[in-house]
Amino acid sequence: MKGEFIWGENLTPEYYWFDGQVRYTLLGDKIDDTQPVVEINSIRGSYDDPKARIWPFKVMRGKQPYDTEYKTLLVSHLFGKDDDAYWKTYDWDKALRAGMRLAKEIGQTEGDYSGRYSFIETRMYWPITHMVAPKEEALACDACHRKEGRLEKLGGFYMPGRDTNPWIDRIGWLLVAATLAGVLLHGLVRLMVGRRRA
Amino acid sequence: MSTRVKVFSGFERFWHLAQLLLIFGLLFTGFNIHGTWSVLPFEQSIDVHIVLALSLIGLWVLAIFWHLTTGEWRQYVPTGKGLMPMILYYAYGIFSGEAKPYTMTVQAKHNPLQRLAYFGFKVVIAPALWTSGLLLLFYVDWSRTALGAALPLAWVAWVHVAAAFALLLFLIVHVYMAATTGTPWYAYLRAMFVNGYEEIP
Repeated sequence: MKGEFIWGENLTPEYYWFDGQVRYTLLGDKIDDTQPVVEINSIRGSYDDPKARIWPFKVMRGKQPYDTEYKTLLVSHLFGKDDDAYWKTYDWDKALRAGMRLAKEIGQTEGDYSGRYSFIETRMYWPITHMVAPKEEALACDACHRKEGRLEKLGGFYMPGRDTNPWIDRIGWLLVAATLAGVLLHGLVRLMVGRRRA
Repeated sequence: MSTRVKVFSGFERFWHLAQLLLIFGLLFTGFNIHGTWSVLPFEQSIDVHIVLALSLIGLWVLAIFWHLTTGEWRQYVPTGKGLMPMILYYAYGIFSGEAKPYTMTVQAKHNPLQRLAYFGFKVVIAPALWTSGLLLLFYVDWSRTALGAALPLAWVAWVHVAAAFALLLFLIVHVYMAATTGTPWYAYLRAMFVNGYEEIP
Protein backbone atom coordinates (compact mmCIF):
# COMPACT_ATOMS: atom_id res chain seq x y z
CA MET A 1 0.00 0.00 0.00
CA LYS A 2 2.62 2.57 1.07
CA GLY A 3 5.53 0.74 -0.47
CA GLU A 4 8.00 -1.32 1.47
CA PHE A 5 9.60 -0.45 4.77
CA ILE A 6 11.95 -2.44 6.88
CA TRP A 7 11.62 -1.45 10.48
CA GLY A 8 14.11 -2.45 13.11
CA GLU A 9 13.96 -2.27 16.88
CA ASN A 10 16.75 -2.57 19.47
CA LEU A 11 19.25 -2.29 16.68
CA THR A 12 22.98 -2.27 16.98
CA PRO A 13 24.11 1.10 15.70
CA GLU A 14 26.76 1.55 13.04
CA TYR A 15 29.95 3.28 14.10
CA TYR A 16 31.92 5.90 12.22
CA TRP A 17 34.60 8.45 12.95
CA PHE A 18 32.84 11.78 13.48
CA ASP A 19 34.24 15.25 14.14
CA GLY A 20 30.81 16.78 14.73
CA GLN A 21 30.44 18.16 11.22
CA VAL A 22 27.59 17.04 9.00
CA ARG A 23 27.27 18.18 5.41
CA TYR A 24 23.72 18.13 4.07
CA THR A 25 22.68 17.68 0.49
CA LEU A 26 20.11 20.48 0.08
CA LEU A 27 17.15 20.36 -2.23
CA GLY A 28 18.80 22.60 -4.82
CA ASP A 29 22.14 20.78 -4.72
CA LYS A 30 23.21 18.83 -7.79
CA ILE A 31 23.64 15.15 -7.12
CA ASP A 32 25.90 12.73 -8.95
CA ASP A 33 23.57 10.06 -10.29
CA THR A 34 26.46 8.04 -11.74
CA GLN A 35 27.22 6.98 -8.15
CA PRO A 36 25.20 4.02 -6.88
CA VAL A 37 24.25 5.85 -3.68
CA VAL A 38 23.56 9.50 -2.92
CA GLU A 39 24.34 10.65 0.59
CA ILE A 40 21.57 12.87 1.93
CA ASN A 41 24.05 13.92 4.55
CA SER A 42 27.69 13.01 4.92
CA ILE A 43 29.76 12.94 8.05
CA ARG A 44 33.40 13.82 8.50
CA GLY A 45 36.19 12.59 10.71
CA SER A 46 38.92 10.01 10.85
CA TYR A 47 41.31 8.37 13.29
CA ASP A 48 43.97 10.90 12.28
CA ASP A 49 41.87 13.80 13.53
CA PRO A 50 42.40 14.11 17.30
CA LYS A 51 39.05 15.87 17.67
CA ALA A 52 37.12 13.10 15.97
CA ARG A 53 35.38 10.43 18.02
CA ILE A 54 33.87 7.07 17.23
CA TRP A 55 30.17 7.83 17.13
CA PRO A 56 27.11 5.57 16.87
CA PHE A 57 24.73 6.21 13.99
CA LYS A 58 21.42 5.03 12.74
CA VAL A 59 21.68 4.76 9.00
CA MET A 60 18.56 5.25 6.94
CA ARG A 61 18.84 3.53 3.59
CA GLY A 62 16.20 4.46 1.05
CA LYS A 63 15.28 5.07 -2.54
CA GLN A 64 14.18 8.55 -3.49
CA PRO A 65 12.89 10.31 -6.60
CA TYR A 66 15.20 12.76 -8.32
CA ASP A 67 15.03 14.95 -11.37
CA THR A 68 17.00 13.30 -14.16
CA GLU A 69 17.32 16.58 -16.04
CA TYR A 70 18.26 18.99 -13.22
CA LYS A 71 20.00 16.31 -11.15
CA THR A 72 18.33 17.40 -7.96
CA LEU A 73 16.40 15.52 -5.33
CA LEU A 74 12.64 15.98 -5.52
CA VAL A 75 9.95 16.53 -2.91
CA SER A 76 6.94 14.28 -3.27
CA HIS A 77 3.46 15.05 -2.08
CA LEU A 78 2.61 11.79 -0.37
CA PHE A 79 -0.75 12.04 1.34
CA GLY A 80 -3.82 14.24 1.39
CA LYS A 81 -7.39 14.19 0.13
CA ASP A 82 -6.45 15.68 -3.25
CA ASP A 83 -5.78 13.67 -6.39
CA ASP A 84 -2.15 14.79 -6.50
CA ALA A 85 -1.31 12.88 -3.33
CA TYR A 86 0.74 9.83 -4.20
CA TRP A 87 -1.01 7.50 -1.79
CA LYS A 88 -4.33 8.53 -3.31
CA THR A 89 -3.70 8.03 -7.03
CA TYR A 90 -0.21 6.45 -7.18
CA ASP A 91 0.93 8.86 -9.84
CA TRP A 92 4.55 9.85 -9.21
CA ASP A 93 4.56 12.60 -11.78
CA LYS A 94 1.57 14.37 -10.23
CA ALA A 95 2.87 13.83 -6.70
CA LEU A 96 6.29 15.27 -7.54
CA ARG A 97 4.85 18.21 -9.42
CA ALA A 98 2.63 19.09 -6.45
CA GLY A 99 5.39 18.47 -3.92
CA MET A 100 7.89 20.68 -5.71
CA ARG A 101 5.30 23.42 -6.26
CA LEU A 102 4.63 23.58 -2.54
CA ALA A 103 8.31 23.42 -1.67
CA LYS A 104 8.96 26.39 -3.89
CA GLU A 105 5.99 28.31 -2.49
CA ILE A 106 7.21 28.02 1.06
CA GLY A 107 10.81 28.77 0.08
CA GLN A 108 12.36 25.34 0.59
CA THR A 109 13.89 25.43 -2.86
CA GLU A 110 14.25 27.63 -5.86
CA GLY A 111 14.60 24.67 -8.16
CA ASP A 112 12.03 23.30 -10.50
CA TYR A 113 10.76 19.95 -11.59
CA SER A 114 11.50 19.17 -15.23
CA GLY A 115 8.90 16.44 -15.53
CA ARG A 116 11.49 13.70 -15.87
CA TYR A 117 12.21 11.68 -12.79
CA SER A 118 13.85 8.50 -11.69
CA PHE A 119 14.83 6.89 -8.42
CA ILE A 120 18.17 6.65 -6.77
CA GLU A 121 19.42 4.97 -3.60
CA THR A 122 20.04 7.34 -0.76
CA ARG A 123 21.66 7.12 2.61
CA MET A 124 21.26 9.30 5.66
CA TYR A 125 23.31 9.22 8.86
CA TRP A 126 21.58 9.99 12.13
CA PRO A 127 24.01 10.54 15.00
CA ILE A 128 22.63 8.86 18.11
CA THR A 129 22.61 10.62 21.44
CA HIS A 130 19.21 9.45 22.65
CA MET A 131 17.50 6.09 22.88
CA VAL A 132 20.62 4.55 24.33
CA ALA A 133 20.27 1.17 26.06
CA PRO A 134 19.66 1.20 29.85
CA LYS A 135 22.70 0.98 32.09
CA GLU A 136 22.14 -2.71 32.83
CA GLU A 137 22.84 -3.31 29.17
CA ALA A 138 25.95 -1.15 29.04
CA LEU A 139 28.54 -2.65 26.74
CA ALA A 140 31.54 -4.59 27.99
CA CYS A 141 35.00 -4.16 26.47
CA ASP A 142 34.63 -7.20 24.26
CA ALA A 143 31.65 -5.75 22.43
CA CYS A 144 34.41 -4.16 20.35
CA HIS A 145 37.65 -5.82 21.44
CA ARG A 146 36.95 -8.99 19.50
CA LYS A 147 36.81 -10.27 15.99
CA GLU A 148 33.51 -9.42 14.30
CA GLY A 149 32.72 -6.97 17.08
CA ARG A 150 30.93 -3.63 16.82
CA LEU A 151 33.96 -1.82 15.48
CA GLU A 152 34.93 -4.54 13.01
CA LYS A 153 34.66 -2.19 10.02
CA LEU A 154 36.31 0.85 11.56
CA GLY A 155 39.76 1.33 10.07
CA GLY A 156 42.89 3.36 10.59
CA PHE A 157 44.02 2.00 13.92
CA TYR A 158 45.15 -1.13 15.76
CA MET A 159 42.76 -2.54 18.35
CA PRO A 160 43.79 -5.41 20.63
CA GLY A 161 41.40 -8.33 20.47
CA ARG A 162 40.33 -7.40 16.95
CA ASP A 163 43.58 -6.88 15.10
CA THR A 164 46.51 -9.20 14.68
CA ASN A 165 49.40 -9.51 12.33
CA PRO A 166 48.42 -12.85 10.79
CA TRP A 167 52.03 -13.64 9.86
CA ILE A 168 53.34 -13.19 13.38
CA ASP A 169 50.58 -15.48 14.64
CA ARG A 170 51.08 -18.10 11.92
CA ILE A 171 54.86 -18.24 12.26
CA GLY A 172 54.59 -18.03 16.05
CA TRP A 173 52.27 -21.00 16.41
CA LEU A 174 54.19 -22.95 13.79
CA LEU A 175 57.39 -22.49 15.79
CA VAL A 176 55.58 -23.42 19.00
CA ALA A 177 54.29 -26.61 17.39
CA ALA A 178 57.70 -27.43 15.92
CA THR A 179 59.42 -26.84 19.26
CA LEU A 180 56.87 -28.94 21.12
CA ALA A 181 57.27 -31.73 18.59
CA GLY A 182 61.04 -31.38 18.84
CA VAL A 183 61.23 -31.78 22.63
CA LEU A 184 58.67 -34.61 22.57
CA LEU A 185 60.66 -36.47 19.95
CA HIS A 186 63.92 -35.79 21.78
CA GLY A 187 62.43 -37.12 24.99
CA LEU A 188 60.87 -40.12 23.31
CA VAL A 189 64.14 -41.15 21.68
CA ARG A 190 65.92 -40.75 25.03
CA LEU A 191 63.33 -42.97 26.67
CA MET A 192 63.57 -45.68 24.02
CA VAL A 193 67.34 -45.68 23.80
CA GLY A 194 67.65 -45.58 27.58
CA ARG A 195 65.29 -48.55 28.00
CA ARG A 196 67.20 -50.61 25.45
CA ARG A 197 70.44 -49.89 27.26
CA ALA A 198 69.09 -50.74 30.68
CA MET B 1 81.75 -39.54 45.90
CA SER B 2 79.40 -36.61 45.65
CA THR B 3 78.54 -33.82 47.99
CA ARG B 4 75.23 -32.19 48.66
CA VAL B 5 75.55 -28.49 48.01
CA LYS B 6 73.00 -25.74 48.23
CA VAL B 7 72.96 -24.23 44.74
CA PHE B 8 69.73 -22.26 44.82
CA SER B 9 69.26 -19.80 47.65
CA GLY B 10 65.87 -19.10 49.15
CA PHE B 11 65.65 -15.87 47.20
CA GLU B 12 66.44 -17.56 43.91
CA ARG B 13 63.78 -20.18 44.48
CA PHE B 14 61.23 -17.54 45.45
CA TRP B 15 62.22 -15.48 42.42
CA HIS B 16 61.89 -18.47 40.11
CA LEU B 17 58.55 -19.64 41.53
CA ALA B 18 57.03 -16.14 41.47
CA GLN B 19 58.29 -15.67 37.93
CA LEU B 20 56.78 -19.00 36.89
CA LEU B 21 53.35 -18.08 38.21
CA LEU B 22 53.45 -14.54 36.82
CA ILE B 23 54.67 -15.59 33.38
CA PHE B 24 52.11 -18.37 32.98
CA GLY B 25 49.40 -15.93 34.07
CA LEU B 26 50.69 -13.33 31.63
CA LEU B 27 50.78 -15.79 28.74
CA PHE B 28 47.25 -16.94 29.52
CA THR B 29 45.74 -13.46 29.85
CA GLY B 30 47.93 -12.07 27.06
CA PHE B 31 46.71 -14.49 24.43
CA ASN B 32 43.19 -13.91 25.75
CA ILE B 33 43.59 -10.17 25.05
CA HIS B 34 45.12 -10.99 21.68
CA GLY B 35 41.96 -12.90 20.77
CA THR B 36 43.65 -16.30 20.48
CA TRP B 37 41.19 -17.59 23.07
CA SER B 38 38.34 -15.98 24.98
CA VAL B 39 38.24 -17.84 28.27
CA LEU B 40 38.03 -14.62 30.28
CA PRO B 41 36.12 -11.50 29.27
CA PHE B 42 38.41 -8.88 27.71
CA GLU B 43 38.07 -6.55 30.68
CA GLN B 44 39.25 -9.11 33.24
CA SER B 45 42.12 -10.31 31.08
CA ILE B 46 43.36 -6.73 30.68
CA ASP B 47 43.06 -6.00 34.41
CA VAL B 48 44.82 -9.21 35.45
CA HIS B 49 47.47 -8.83 32.75
CA ILE B 50 48.36 -5.34 33.96
CA VAL B 51 48.59 -6.35 37.63
CA LEU B 52 50.73 -9.40 36.78
CA ALA B 53 52.95 -7.38 34.43
CA LEU B 54 53.63 -4.64 36.98
CA SER B 55 54.31 -7.32 39.62
CA LEU B 56 56.78 -9.02 37.28
CA ILE B 57 58.57 -5.76 36.57
CA GLY B 58 58.75 -5.16 40.33
CA LEU B 59 60.13 -8.67 40.81
CA TRP B 60 62.73 -8.08 38.13
CA VAL B 61 63.88 -4.84 39.75
CA LEU B 62 64.28 -6.76 43.01
CA ALA B 63 66.12 -9.61 41.26
CA ILE B 64 68.45 -7.25 39.41
CA PHE B 65 69.29 -5.60 42.73
CA TRP B 66 69.92 -9.00 44.29
CA HIS B 67 72.15 -10.15 41.43
CA LEU B 68 74.18 -6.94 41.49
CA THR B 69 74.72 -6.93 45.24
CA THR B 70 75.54 -10.64 45.51
CA GLY B 71 77.66 -10.72 42.36
CA GLU B 72 75.52 -13.59 41.12
CA TRP B 73 75.00 -11.76 37.81
CA ARG B 74 78.28 -13.39 36.76
CA GLN B 75 76.36 -16.66 36.47
CA TYR B 76 74.71 -15.28 33.34
CA VAL B 77 77.71 -13.96 31.46
CA PRO B 78 77.79 -16.05 28.29
CA THR B 79 80.87 -17.97 27.32
CA GLY B 80 81.79 -19.73 24.11
CA LYS B 81 84.06 -22.12 26.00
CA GLY B 82 82.40 -25.51 26.25
CA LEU B 83 79.36 -24.38 24.31
CA MET B 84 79.88 -26.70 21.37
CA PRO B 85 80.32 -29.84 23.51
CA MET B 86 77.03 -28.95 25.28
CA ILE B 87 75.20 -28.63 21.96
CA LEU B 88 76.68 -31.91 20.73
CA TYR B 89 75.73 -33.57 23.99
CA TYR B 90 72.04 -32.65 23.66
CA ALA B 91 72.10 -33.49 19.95
CA TYR B 92 73.78 -36.85 20.34
CA GLY B 93 75.59 -37.76 23.54
CA ILE B 94 72.47 -37.70 25.71
CA PHE B 95 71.07 -40.60 23.66
CA SER B 96 74.17 -42.72 23.77
CA GLY B 97 74.52 -42.34 27.51
CA GLU B 98 77.59 -40.14 27.53
CA ALA B 99 78.33 -38.14 30.65
CA LYS B 100 77.31 -34.49 30.63
CA PRO B 101 80.33 -32.47 29.40
CA TYR B 102 79.78 -29.98 32.19
CA THR B 103 80.02 -30.12 35.93
CA MET B 104 77.97 -27.72 37.95
CA THR B 105 79.72 -25.73 40.66
CA VAL B 106 78.24 -23.18 43.02
CA GLN B 107 80.21 -20.47 41.24
CA ALA B 108 79.02 -21.60 37.80
CA LYS B 109 75.73 -23.45 38.10
CA HIS B 110 74.65 -22.94 34.53
CA ASN B 111 76.27 -24.79 31.66
CA PRO B 112 77.41 -22.66 28.68
CA LEU B 113 74.24 -23.39 26.70
CA GLN B 114 72.10 -22.40 29.66
CA ARG B 115 74.09 -19.23 30.15
CA LEU B 116 73.51 -18.29 26.54
CA ALA B 117 69.79 -19.07 26.68
CA TYR B 118 69.20 -17.21 29.95
CA PHE B 119 71.35 -14.32 28.77
CA GLY B 120 69.30 -14.11 25.57
CA PHE B 121 66.12 -14.15 27.61
CA LYS B 122 67.38 -11.37 29.88
CA VAL B 123 68.77 -9.04 27.24
CA VAL B 124 66.43 -9.66 24.30
CA ILE B 125 63.10 -11.28 25.14
CA ALA B 126 62.39 -9.72 28.54
CA PRO B 127 63.32 -6.13 27.58
CA ALA B 128 61.35 -6.43 24.33
CA LEU B 129 58.33 -7.56 26.35
CA TRP B 130 58.41 -4.93 29.04
CA THR B 131 59.36 -2.05 26.74
CA SER B 132 56.58 -2.82 24.27
CA GLY B 133 54.21 -3.68 27.14
CA LEU B 134 54.79 -0.35 28.93
CA LEU B 135 54.36 1.47 25.62
CA LEU B 136 51.03 -0.31 25.09
CA LEU B 137 49.95 0.43 28.66
CA PHE B 138 50.74 4.15 28.41
CA TYR B 139 49.77 4.63 24.76
CA VAL B 140 47.45 7.58 25.48
CA ASP B 141 50.33 9.47 27.06
CA TRP B 142 52.64 9.30 24.06
CA SER B 143 50.27 8.86 21.12
CA ARG B 144 50.10 12.64 20.51
CA THR B 145 53.83 13.24 20.85
CA ALA B 146 56.65 12.95 18.31
CA LEU B 147 57.03 9.31 19.32
CA GLY B 148 53.39 8.68 18.44
CA ALA B 149 53.92 10.17 14.99
CA ALA B 150 56.95 7.96 14.40
CA LEU B 151 55.79 4.73 15.96
CA PRO B 152 52.45 3.17 14.98
CA LEU B 153 50.65 1.35 17.74
CA ALA B 154 50.42 -1.75 15.57
CA TRP B 155 54.23 -2.10 15.46
CA VAL B 156 54.42 -1.97 19.25
CA ALA B 157 51.72 -4.62 19.49
CA TRP B 158 53.50 -6.81 16.93
CA VAL B 159 56.76 -6.62 18.89
CA HIS B 160 54.88 -7.51 22.07
CA VAL B 161 53.19 -10.52 20.45
CA ALA B 162 56.37 -11.69 18.71
CA ALA B 163 58.31 -11.44 21.98
CA ALA B 164 55.54 -13.39 23.73
CA PHE B 165 55.98 -16.17 21.16
CA ALA B 166 59.75 -16.09 21.73
CA LEU B 167 59.09 -16.40 25.46
CA LEU B 168 56.79 -19.35 24.85
CA LEU B 169 59.45 -21.11 22.75
CA PHE B 170 62.04 -20.46 25.45
CA LEU B 171 59.65 -21.87 28.05
CA ILE B 172 58.94 -25.09 26.18
CA VAL B 173 62.62 -25.91 25.82
CA HIS B 174 63.45 -24.67 29.31
CA VAL B 175 60.76 -26.80 30.95
CA TYR B 176 61.80 -29.86 28.95
CA MET B 177 65.49 -29.45 29.77
CA ALA B 178 65.04 -28.50 33.40
CA ALA B 179 62.38 -31.07 34.19
CA THR B 180 63.90 -34.12 32.51
CA THR B 181 67.65 -33.89 31.95
CA GLY B 182 68.99 -34.04 35.49
CA THR B 183 70.50 -37.11 37.13
CA PRO B 184 68.16 -38.60 38.18
CA TRP B 185 65.86 -36.92 35.70
CA TYR B 186 64.01 -34.90 38.36
CA ALA B 187 67.15 -33.65 40.08
CA TYR B 188 66.86 -30.05 38.85
CA LEU B 189 63.17 -29.91 39.71
CA ARG B 190 63.93 -31.03 43.24
CA ALA B 191 66.72 -28.49 43.62
CA MET B 192 64.63 -25.61 42.32
CA PHE B 193 61.30 -26.38 43.93
CA VAL B 194 61.97 -28.46 47.02
CA ASN B 195 65.15 -27.69 48.88
CA GLY B 196 67.74 -25.92 46.73
CA TYR B 197 70.23 -28.80 47.10
CA GLU B 198 72.06 -30.48 44.29
CA GLU B 199 74.41 -33.48 44.33
CA ILE B 200 77.72 -32.29 42.98
CA PRO B 201 80.39 -34.88 42.17
